[in-house]
Amino acid sequence: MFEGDAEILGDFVTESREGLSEIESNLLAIEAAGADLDLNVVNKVFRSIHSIKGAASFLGLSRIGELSHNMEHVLSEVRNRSLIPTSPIVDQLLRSADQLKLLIESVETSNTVDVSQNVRELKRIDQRYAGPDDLSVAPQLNVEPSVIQPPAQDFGVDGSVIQQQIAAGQNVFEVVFDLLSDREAFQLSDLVLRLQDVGSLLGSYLDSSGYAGTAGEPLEWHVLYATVLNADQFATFFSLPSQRVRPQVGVVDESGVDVLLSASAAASAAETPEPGQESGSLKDSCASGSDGQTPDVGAGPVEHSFRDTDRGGERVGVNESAGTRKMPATEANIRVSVSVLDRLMNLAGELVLSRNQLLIAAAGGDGRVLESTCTRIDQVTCELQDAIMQTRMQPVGTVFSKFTRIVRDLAQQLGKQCELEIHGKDVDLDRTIIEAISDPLTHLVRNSMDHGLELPEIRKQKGKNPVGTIKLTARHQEGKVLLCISDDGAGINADRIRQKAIEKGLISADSALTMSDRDAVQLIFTPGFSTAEQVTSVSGRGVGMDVVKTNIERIGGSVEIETAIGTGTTMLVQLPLTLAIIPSLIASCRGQRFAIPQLSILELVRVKAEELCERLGRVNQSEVLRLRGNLLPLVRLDHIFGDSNKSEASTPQLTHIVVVESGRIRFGVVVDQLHDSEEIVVKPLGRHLKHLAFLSGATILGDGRIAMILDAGGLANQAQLQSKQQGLQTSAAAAETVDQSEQISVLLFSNHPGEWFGVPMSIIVRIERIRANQIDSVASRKVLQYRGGTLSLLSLEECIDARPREPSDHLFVIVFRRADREIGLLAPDVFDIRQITSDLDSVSFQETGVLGSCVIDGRTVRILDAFELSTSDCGAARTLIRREPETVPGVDTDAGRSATVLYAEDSAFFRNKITKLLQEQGWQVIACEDGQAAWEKLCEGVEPQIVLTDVEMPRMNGFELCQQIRSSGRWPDLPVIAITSLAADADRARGIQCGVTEYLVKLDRDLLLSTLSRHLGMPCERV
Amino acid sequence: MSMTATRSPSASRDLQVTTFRLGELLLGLEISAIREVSRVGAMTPVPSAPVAVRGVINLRGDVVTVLDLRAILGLCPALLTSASRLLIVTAHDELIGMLVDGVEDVVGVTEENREDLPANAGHFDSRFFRCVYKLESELLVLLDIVAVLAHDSAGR
Repeated sequence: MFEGDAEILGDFVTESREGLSEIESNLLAIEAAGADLDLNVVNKVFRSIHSIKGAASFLGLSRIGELSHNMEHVLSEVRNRSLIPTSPIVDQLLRSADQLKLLIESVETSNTVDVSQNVRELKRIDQRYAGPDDLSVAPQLNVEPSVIQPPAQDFGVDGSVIQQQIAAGQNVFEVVFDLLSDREAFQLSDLVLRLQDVGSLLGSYLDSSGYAGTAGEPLEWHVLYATVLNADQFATFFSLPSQRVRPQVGVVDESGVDVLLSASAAASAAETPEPGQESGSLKDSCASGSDGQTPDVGAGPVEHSFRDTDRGGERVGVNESAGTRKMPATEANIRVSVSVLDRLMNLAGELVLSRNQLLIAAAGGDGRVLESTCTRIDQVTCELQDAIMQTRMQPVGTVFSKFTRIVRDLAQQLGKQCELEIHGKDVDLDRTIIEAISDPLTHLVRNSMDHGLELPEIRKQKGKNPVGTIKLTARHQEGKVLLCISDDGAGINADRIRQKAIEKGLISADSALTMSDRDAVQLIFTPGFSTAEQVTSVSGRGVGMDVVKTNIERIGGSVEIETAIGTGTTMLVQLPLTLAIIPSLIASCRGQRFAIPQLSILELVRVKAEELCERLGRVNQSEVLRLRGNLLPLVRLDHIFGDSNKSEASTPQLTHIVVVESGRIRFGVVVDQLHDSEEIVVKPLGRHLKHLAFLSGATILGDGRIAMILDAGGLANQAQLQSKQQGLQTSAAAAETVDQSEQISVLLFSNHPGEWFGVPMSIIVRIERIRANQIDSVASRKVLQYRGGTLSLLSLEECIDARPREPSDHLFVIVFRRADREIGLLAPDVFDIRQITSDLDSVSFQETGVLGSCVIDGRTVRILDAFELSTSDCGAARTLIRREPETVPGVDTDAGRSATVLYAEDSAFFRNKITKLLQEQGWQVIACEDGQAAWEKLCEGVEPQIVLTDVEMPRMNGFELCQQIRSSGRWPDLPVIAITSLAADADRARGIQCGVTEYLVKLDRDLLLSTLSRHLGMPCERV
Repeated sequence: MSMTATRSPSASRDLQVTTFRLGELLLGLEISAIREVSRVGAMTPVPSAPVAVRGVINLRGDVVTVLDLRAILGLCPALLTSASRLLIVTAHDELIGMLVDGVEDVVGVTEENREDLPANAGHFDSRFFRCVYKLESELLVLLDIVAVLAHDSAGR
């Protein structure tokens, strides 16, 4: 058919694509303008369709030719103003344009596609024009009547009269009465009286053109009528078919001739932005299609349009804004403004000059010249980079603008009414991001339309405006771009999400309970989740949201939901400005350098060699690092890379750990060395390496060598962190939710498989794995030959009421420090580390050595008090440690007895526990439930020798309490000791800043007692 | 563009062929398929990469994947010597460097000297070769660059 002339065909496709890309927005602009036509825009559309038609017939593409020919015909009618482009017409044109796009995308097979439907529809528009009487059979009653406005037939009424009526809150209609056929219904005199009853007659004329004296032919009396009724009410009142009532809006066009304009078209026109508008917002009234259905809507647009016309006919903006609106560039070519190109040219010239200077300087060996030239080159390069980046940048409006259409179509499809507000469309983003964001955004907008906004009736019931609003906002924030898609719809019901998630088996019922609403709502991003009561064609099968999330994350962005039931939902999409240049940390492993994007880096951790064995542990065969009471899974690059040379693996050389986060997974990457942070230019990897998910590309470093860019998500997958860390992740999520009650990390283990126990992580020094035959029994005590010494071992069943452990070859030993020696607790199976709240149930299991119990994963877990376990109160353990004064320092001094400790702690559990402990030492304890209470006690005149305070507390936290104490000046020397489960360096620093004397980690009672003793001036063996 | 050239029937006409060696074997690649021949500079290995990928190089700002032709053909990996060269070819809009033991010459071959592949293509997989040309002293095997590049992306 085309003689294989692929090149010409390719050109045709490219050209047509280009032409079609603008058609949509132009058509919408035409629709918005309505009768107030801008010929330039129409011509533009006409020309693109015309050239497609021409080329198609030349290439023998009959279907494309047929469709474009019919589109062209309708457009030509519009162009010579014999057809006013109303919504249905534009609708049809848009649909045809869509079909045309499809045909052109698969041009080879286009001739086999059936386009007759579209062609028929287009022809019908024509025919309708040819015979106005066909109007009565038009299917869409509300809008159809205004399709054709006979401009010549005038009521002889000045446009300003109509405007005055509208200004007075009246609706103006053109009503057509058929004097012959309607006679049965009413007399003409009656009719006039009734009309005067409910409104005022502005003018009328008799149209006898269709009447030749035969029965059944119409004799039309056109009445221009102003009333408070809306079109539907009016039609009902007079038992008229609604198409005979045509809402009117008076608009003065350039020539000063009054023309009549359909309300919907005028409404859309009125909503279109003017260039000078402050926020540059673009509102699109999607409600126009349903004007007649609701009274409010009918009135709304009319008001708008009046406001508009009131400005003395200076109606600008519609076409200008449409003309300058840039189109989404999904093609390989981009348009660059000449000014940017000129700047690039200048800079290139500068660069050449600088190079020449550099060459001269290098030849001359003059250091100073060299230096200044380098500065210059540096400058030029920066500017050059900037200018080139600019060519890649596009306003986000290019994506946003397509939503005008999407929202409009969806509103019609879903029977909802919706306005789209766009803010900040001038915010620039890299075009690759613009391209990548288009689909996810579409999905989010669809979602808001489908699930967010309620149906108009429901909205009315709730007392909301029946017209919903979707707001698209873009703005810069902290060097990133923040896109918000917000609706004023129903909001997301977190309970329903939880329920759904449980039903689908995405989460357990337990975790649903502990999950905060905020976290529960984020569940919609979980694969396989859909909350739509029924699957709709709009939002699909719920496969989307997780894809949305992954797609956004792929380009370095993130997405979050904020929702409030009844008031709406906001999706926050954060995006980097560009993908091409990213700040990264350069690290090396095995002599090879890697770049880790700063975006994914949370912090850098350096572990001292001597701390290494204390902080390093193993859970489920994977390495973990204890970091501030949490366990951080570690990933060793050499393992990931499948390095066969594992000789070093045995010696745990890890000093530098880069803590990264991807999605919800947080882990540490072990590297040998850290280098500088650099702005790197991302280069794609070839297709042979594309499958390596942990590499997101490569970059060329300053010395010309290549460094791979690591992808945190890919690394996590590669290391299979996902499944293993699920527990840690959910517990981390739970930690966020329960802010007020404190979190403790506990190591879960079992002695007998049926019984679970927990030990607070903060007291664990390390965990060892031993063989059962390494255990020696010496004088009824179990010991382990260990690092040149012996380690006393405890068996749980000998200390507390527990089922005995089953014999096994290997055992774990949980090592903790009691007084000055280490003690090991035998644990046959260690399986997880969890965050639990400190609100333990201390009633159910009252036993020495047991802190309390809690429920984890549906099982009762007894949390052990390791210190009590090892004291003489506990069964067989009594032989281990003799209860001697020196193990509990400072008890016996008289000074200590009279000491008063003011203790602030919000957790009742800790308050009771520690109060008891301190009282056992003979100290007086004034326990307060928070800092405020403690401060009040102080003000009341209580005179403690020492203040012990928790950090995280409601009302007044520990730091604030300390600050109060210090700033009051009344107790400058009063020691304040903060105890907390947060022991980050930053916290310490803050504590010291606030005047905290010492900073202790909870649950280390020996340290607590010795510290207190020291401050109370009591003898103490160990400090 | 180079790909279409190698595949088109014009290959049966007289050709300019760049010859290079892999061990004893004299191989040839149409000159039109080669963008440039470059020395092997600093090469960065890629962790977990397929065996045939030797690494990546910086070719004037482009990150170019280097394939070891020997590995693709099932020989032991090449040793880098001063004679080693990279044949830079374009495939799917991407630059690929083919590591060869050394580039010899550019020779013109004619249709008369062309022969089909012998049934016993030795221990090599014959799908990587297109045909054989008889030169004065030895045989030149014409490489099917499309097959070579396709192989590696599929069979990692």
